[in-house]
Amino acid sequence: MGVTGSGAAAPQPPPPRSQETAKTLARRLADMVVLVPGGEFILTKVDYVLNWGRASSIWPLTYGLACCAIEMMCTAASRWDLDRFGVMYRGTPRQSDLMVVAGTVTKKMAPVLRQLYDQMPEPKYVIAMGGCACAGGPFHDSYFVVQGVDQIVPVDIYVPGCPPRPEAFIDGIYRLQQKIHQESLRGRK
Amino acid sequence: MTPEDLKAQFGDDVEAAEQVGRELRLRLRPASLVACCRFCKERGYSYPADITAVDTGAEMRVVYRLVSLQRGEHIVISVGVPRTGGSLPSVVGVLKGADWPEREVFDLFGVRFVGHPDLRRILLTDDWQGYPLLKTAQPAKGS
Repeated sequence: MGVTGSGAAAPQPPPPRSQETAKTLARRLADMVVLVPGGEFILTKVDYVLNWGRASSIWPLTYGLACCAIEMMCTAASRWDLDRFGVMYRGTPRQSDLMVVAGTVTKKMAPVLRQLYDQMPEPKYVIAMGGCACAGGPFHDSYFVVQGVDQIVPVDIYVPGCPPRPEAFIDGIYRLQQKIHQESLRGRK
Repeated sequence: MTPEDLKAQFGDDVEAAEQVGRELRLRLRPASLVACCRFCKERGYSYPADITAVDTGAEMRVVYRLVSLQRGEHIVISVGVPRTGGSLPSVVGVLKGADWPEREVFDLFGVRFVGHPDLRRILLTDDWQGYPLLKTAQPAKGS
């Protein structure tokens, strides 16, 4: 791997995959990849390849806590099939890049959630799925419900809904992929 | 089992008893609670489906629902205790399945169960102050 040729334009953040056609994909790759004439090398950017790898193999830690977990599970099942995007659920934080907090977090659960987050290796991301994980939802001002999981762990993507439909959750995955594509080895933006 | 059976067995400790469909509703004095649970269990009502409480404002009614799975019939026993600082004899010695439900009533309503083997909070954290399902409980601001 090396740097792109001097003529390559600065990479643009990719459009959402849902709008991506073969033509736009080819145009994006042309920005990223330089074929050396007569050679057998592909030159690209380290950032791009790493981000492409990360965004295409998001392995979430299953953190189903309530009814949102049912939507999360059926999004992974055959009808919506998250495997298409390289998303495969793991049963342990040590193999996970993403924590999907799907459901109501009580104050008794909060330290456990934080501990599991701390056990995930970097780089790691969090999706708050549903109203409860975003801001307490129907348990607003409750005596024992955490008013948004962002009080315990940093949240990258909020997916509202009660519960969100699988399409909304997949949109959250898209947006996380876009976010990952904008990262750089020089540090998170 | 009929309301008359229970009245004959426990006399004045039965404040009221009525049959509603497949459900026998019983208002009982605390003194006969454990004896009544044993009496019902020996006659097939051995499944403690639920133990909960109702804060009526004047007093606390602790409600036991015993089910006979063979006959598909319920007995609902309601016992009155003071709203705060109330206590009842534990029925865990008779019905082992009452262990966690009694802890839950203690946790949320503050009713103490004398003789319970492990009366700790079960849903809330141990350092929680007060009992959140009392009508007088102040709604805690979410933090």
